[in-house]
Amino acid sequence: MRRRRMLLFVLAGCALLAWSAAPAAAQGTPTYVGSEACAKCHEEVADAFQSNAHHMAEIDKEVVAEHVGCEGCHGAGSEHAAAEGDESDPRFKTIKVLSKMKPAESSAVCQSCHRVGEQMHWDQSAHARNDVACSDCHSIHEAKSPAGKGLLKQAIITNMCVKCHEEKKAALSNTAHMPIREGGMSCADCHNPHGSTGGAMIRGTSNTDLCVSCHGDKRGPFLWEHAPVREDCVACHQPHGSNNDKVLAGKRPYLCQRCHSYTRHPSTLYDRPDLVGNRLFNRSCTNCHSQIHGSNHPSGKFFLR
Amino acid sequence: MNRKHRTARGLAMGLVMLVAAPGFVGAAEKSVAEGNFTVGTQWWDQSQPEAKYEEYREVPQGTFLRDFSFRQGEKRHLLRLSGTNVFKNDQSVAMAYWNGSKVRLDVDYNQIPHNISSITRTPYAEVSPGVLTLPDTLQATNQSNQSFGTTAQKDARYVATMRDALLNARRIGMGFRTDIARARLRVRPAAGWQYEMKGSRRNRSGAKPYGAPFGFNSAIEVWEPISQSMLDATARLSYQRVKEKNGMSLQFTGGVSAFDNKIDKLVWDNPKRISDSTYASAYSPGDGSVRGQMDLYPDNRSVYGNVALGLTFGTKVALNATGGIAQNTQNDPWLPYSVNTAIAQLDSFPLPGTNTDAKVTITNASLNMAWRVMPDATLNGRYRLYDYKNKTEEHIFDGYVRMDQVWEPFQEISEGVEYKDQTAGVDADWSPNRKFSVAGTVEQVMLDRPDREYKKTKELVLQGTVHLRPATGWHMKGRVRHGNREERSGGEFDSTGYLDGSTLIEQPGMKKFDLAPRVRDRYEASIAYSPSEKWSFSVGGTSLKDDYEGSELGLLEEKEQTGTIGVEFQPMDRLQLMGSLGWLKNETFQASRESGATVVLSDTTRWTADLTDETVTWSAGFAWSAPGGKWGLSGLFDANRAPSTYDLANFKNTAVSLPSTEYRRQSATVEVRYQLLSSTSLLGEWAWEQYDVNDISTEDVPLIFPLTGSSNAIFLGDSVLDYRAHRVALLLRRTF
Repeated sequence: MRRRRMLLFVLAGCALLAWSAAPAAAQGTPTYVGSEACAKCHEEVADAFQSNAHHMAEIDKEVVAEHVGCEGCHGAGSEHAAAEGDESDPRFKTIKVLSKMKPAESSAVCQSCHRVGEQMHWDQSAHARNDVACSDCHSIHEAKSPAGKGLLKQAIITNMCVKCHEEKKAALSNTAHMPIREGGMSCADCHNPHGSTGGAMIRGTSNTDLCVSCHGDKRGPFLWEHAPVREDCVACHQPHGSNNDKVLAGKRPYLCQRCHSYTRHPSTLYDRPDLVGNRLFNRSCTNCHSQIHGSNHPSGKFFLR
Repeated sequence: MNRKHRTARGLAMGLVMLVAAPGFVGAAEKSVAEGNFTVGTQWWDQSQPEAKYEEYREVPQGTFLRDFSFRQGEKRHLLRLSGTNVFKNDQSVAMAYWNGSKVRLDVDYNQIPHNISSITRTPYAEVSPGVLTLPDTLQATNQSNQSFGTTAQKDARYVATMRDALLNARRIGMGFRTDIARARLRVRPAAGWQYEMKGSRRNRSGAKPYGAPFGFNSAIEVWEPISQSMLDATARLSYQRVKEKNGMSLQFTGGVSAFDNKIDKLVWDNPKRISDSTYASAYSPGDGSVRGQMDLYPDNRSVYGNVALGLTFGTKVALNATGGIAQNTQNDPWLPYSVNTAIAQLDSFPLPGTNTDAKVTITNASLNMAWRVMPDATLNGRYRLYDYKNKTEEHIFDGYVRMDQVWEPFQEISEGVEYKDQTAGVDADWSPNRKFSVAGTVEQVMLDRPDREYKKTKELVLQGTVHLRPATGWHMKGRVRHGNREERSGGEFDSTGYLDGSTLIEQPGMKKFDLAPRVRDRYEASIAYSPSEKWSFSVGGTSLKDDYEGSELGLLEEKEQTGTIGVEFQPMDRLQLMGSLGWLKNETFQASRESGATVVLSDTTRWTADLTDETVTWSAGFAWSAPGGKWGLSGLFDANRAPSTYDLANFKNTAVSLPSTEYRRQSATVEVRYQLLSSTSLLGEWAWEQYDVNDISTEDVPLIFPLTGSSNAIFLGDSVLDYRAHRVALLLRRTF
C-alpha cells in the first residue's frame, strides 16, 4: 500500500512537471524588422550601441543567437514600430521593456545568450532569488562602461555592491582590510555575483579553496595540519575587515584560547600585568607559533618550525 | 629605477600621449577611436614614516600618469587599452581585444604592494636567500657572558649587549609585492560552442615579520623572505543551446595550479650561541643551537576538473548539476629534525621517510532544481557536497627536536585532516506582484569531521524573507534566520582531553566553536526610499547571535550588530550631496581554566574574556559644477573609528582588564576642475589623511623587551605610528 502511494505520488509529480514544462503557446504577430528600424526613433541609443561590446553580436550572429541587435533582447519590433511612438496604441507595448519586467523575467532575456562561464549558476544564485536583475548592475546600451569592463554601471565594483550590502561597508573601512579600498581587489574577486556552487556565491567550492587560489602557500597539504585552517579560513579571519592585525576575528591570544586550553601557557589568563611579557605583545602566540597554517618540518607538530 | 628616472619616463609618456592624441582620432576616421588620460604632478608629505599610508598602494611623488583609456574599433575589430598608476608599485594595465563575437582576448597586469613597516631594524644580514646571520663576535660575546656570574647578572649582560647591537642595527623595509599577469582567450567557433583558456602567473616577493624562537619566552622576530610564484592554467569548453523556450548548457573545465616557493627554508642565527649545545629543559630561555632552521611553505600542486550541466524547460523548470574532482599534492623533501649538531639522538633516530608525499582528493557536487509551480511562485531544491579526503600515509616519528634545542622522545604520528560538508535545502518564493514577495528556506547542513572532537553534526536552518514595495520608491526588506547545530547520531562528542604520554594536557569539555553545538539567530531589516531621482534614503540593520549553550569552556557566545544610514540628495542639476553612516559591533564571550604542568579541573582557576570590537564609519561628500560647466568642485570626507575593549575576569577576582584600543582614520579630499578646452580639463586636488593608533601591543614595539629577566624577545620594532599626511596634485585630463 505504502509503495503504491509512493508510486502515485511520483507519477503525479512527473505529470505536474511535464504539464508545467510544456512550452507556452505562441502569441502575437510581431515580426523582426532589424535594428535599423529601431534607430529611426532611438537614434541616441543606437549610436551608443554601435561601439558597445554587444554590437559585436550583430557581426557574428551565426555564433551568438538567432536574433541579435535590439530585437535580440526586446523581441520582434514590427508592431512596436508600427505604433510610431504612440504610447496609447496597444502595439506600442508589444516589445519587452526589461526595466518594467520582473527581475527573473528580464534576467531570463540575458540568459538566452549568457548561460555558461561566469553565468552558469545564475538560476541558483542568491541574487536571482532575491529579485536582483542583470540590469541592476549592468548598463546594456551605453557605449562604454565607467568601470571599463562588463558594461557595469559604476566605475568601482565595490561601490556598486555596498549599495545593497551596506552592512559590509563599515567592515571594509577597518584598519585591517584587504586591498579593496585601494582598488587592488574588488568584491568580485572573491564572489561571483552571477552565482556559484559555493556558499555566499564565492568563487570556490569552499572558503578555503577560494582563499588558497591566491594564497597558494597555505594550500598544503602539510605534514602537520591545523584542522580549522584546513577546513575554513573564516574560523579565524574576517575577510571583509577587522580591528585586528591580519584581519583576524579576534585579538590574540584570546582568539587562540577560544579553542586551546592546554596545560601551561595556552590556558593562562594574560591580563594587564602580562603586558610586560611577550605573549600579549606584537603577534602574541604567533610570535613563536609562526607556522600556524601548517608545517612540513619533522619537528613542526606545534607549528614552531 | 630611481625616482628621477621614473619621473622623466612618466613625463615623457604624458607628453607623447598629449601629442599623439589627435593623431589617433584622425587615423581612425569612420571608426571608433577614443580615449582619455590623466597626467600630472603630485607632492605629498607625511608627519611620521608609517607604512599604513601606502599599505596597498604607491602614492606618487612627482610626475605621474594617473590613468589612461583608449578604444579603437573598425568593423569587426575592437581594441581597448587601459591603465592606472602606470610604472608605479600599484600599477594596473589591461588590454582587451574583440574580433567580432568569435574571439576575445584579455590580458592584464596588476601589482599589489603590501607595505608593512618602514621603520624596522635588525642586526641580521641576509647572506643568501633565506639565510640570516649575526656577527660572530656578537654571538661569541653573548655565549661568553653566559658562562659566569649569577642568573640575574647573565640576563643583564645579555640585554645590555643586545640593546647596543640593536640600537646600531640597520633599517630594513618590511613588505612585499604581488605581481599578477593574466591572460584569457575566448573563442566561439560555431553556434553554441565556446572555448575559453585562462592563465595567470602570480609572483610575490619581499619580506614579512616572522617569529623564530629558540626557547619558551624568548621569541626572536626575524623576517620571512618571500620569493614565491603561482602558475594557474584553466581550459573550459562550453556548449549552450536554446530551442523554443527550452535551453541546455554544458560546461567542462579542467585546470592546474602550481605553487613554487623559491626560498624553501629559513636559517637564522641564535644570538646567544657561537657553538652548538643542548639544553635539558625545554623551557630554557633560548640556549641550545647556534642556529635554527625552519621549513617555509612547501611547493604544492593542484589538478582539477569539473562538469556542469544546466537545463531549462520553458520558464517553468531550471535544473543545474555540477560535479568536480581535484587532487592537491605536496612532495617537498623534509628537512632534518634539527641543524643542532650537539643533539646526539639525531644519529640514532633517522627520519621515517624523505617527504610527506601528501595527497588530498576533493570531490564536490551540486544539484539544484528551480520549479515555477505557479506564475508567481517558485520552489527551489538544492543539494551540495564537498568531500575533502586525505590520502596521505601517516608517518611515525620517534620524537622531535623542540625549537632546535632538545630531543623530545615522544612518538608523534602525523595524520592528515579530512572532512565532509553536505547541505540540502528547499527555498520557496512567492511574488504575486511587484509590491510584495515572500520567501522561505529550510536547510539541513551536515558536517563530518572524523578527526575532530565532534565527528558528526547537523544543523537545521529556517529562514524567512519579506520584501515590500508599497509605493513607488519604497523598498522594505525583513529577514529572520534561525539555525540549530547539534550532534548527529554516531558522532558524539569525543574529547576527554588530549593525552601526551599518560598526562592529560587539555581541559576536558573544551568545545571548539567551529563545530560545537550552537544556536544561531540572525535578523535583518532595511528600508530604502527613493521618491525621485533627486534623492534617496536608506536605513538598515542586522543582528546576529551565536549561542554555544552546551559549552562550558571555549567560545560561549558571539553577537554581531550592524547599522547603516545612507542619503543621496540632488537639490539641483549641478549639485549632488551624499552622506553615510555605518556601525558594526562584534562581541564575544569566552571561558577557560588555567593549568600549570598538570591540568587543573577546578573552577577556581576559571577565567573569562568579554571582547568587543566596534567600528563607526561615516562619510559626506558633494559635487558641484558652475553654470556652463566650466568650473567644478567636489569634496569627500571619510572617517573610521574602531575602538575595542578587553574585559577580563576570573574566579579569584584578580584579573585586570587590558587597556582598550582604538584605531582611527580620517581623510578629506577636495578637487577643483576647470574645463580648459572642450576636451581638456585641469584638475587641482588637495587631500589630507590622519591616522591615530592607541594600541599598547602594537604602537610601541621595542627592539628588545622586556629589559629584565631571561624571558626577553627581540622584535623588529615594527610599531604602528600615528601620522598626518597632506597631498597636493595638479593634473591634466584629456579626452580624445
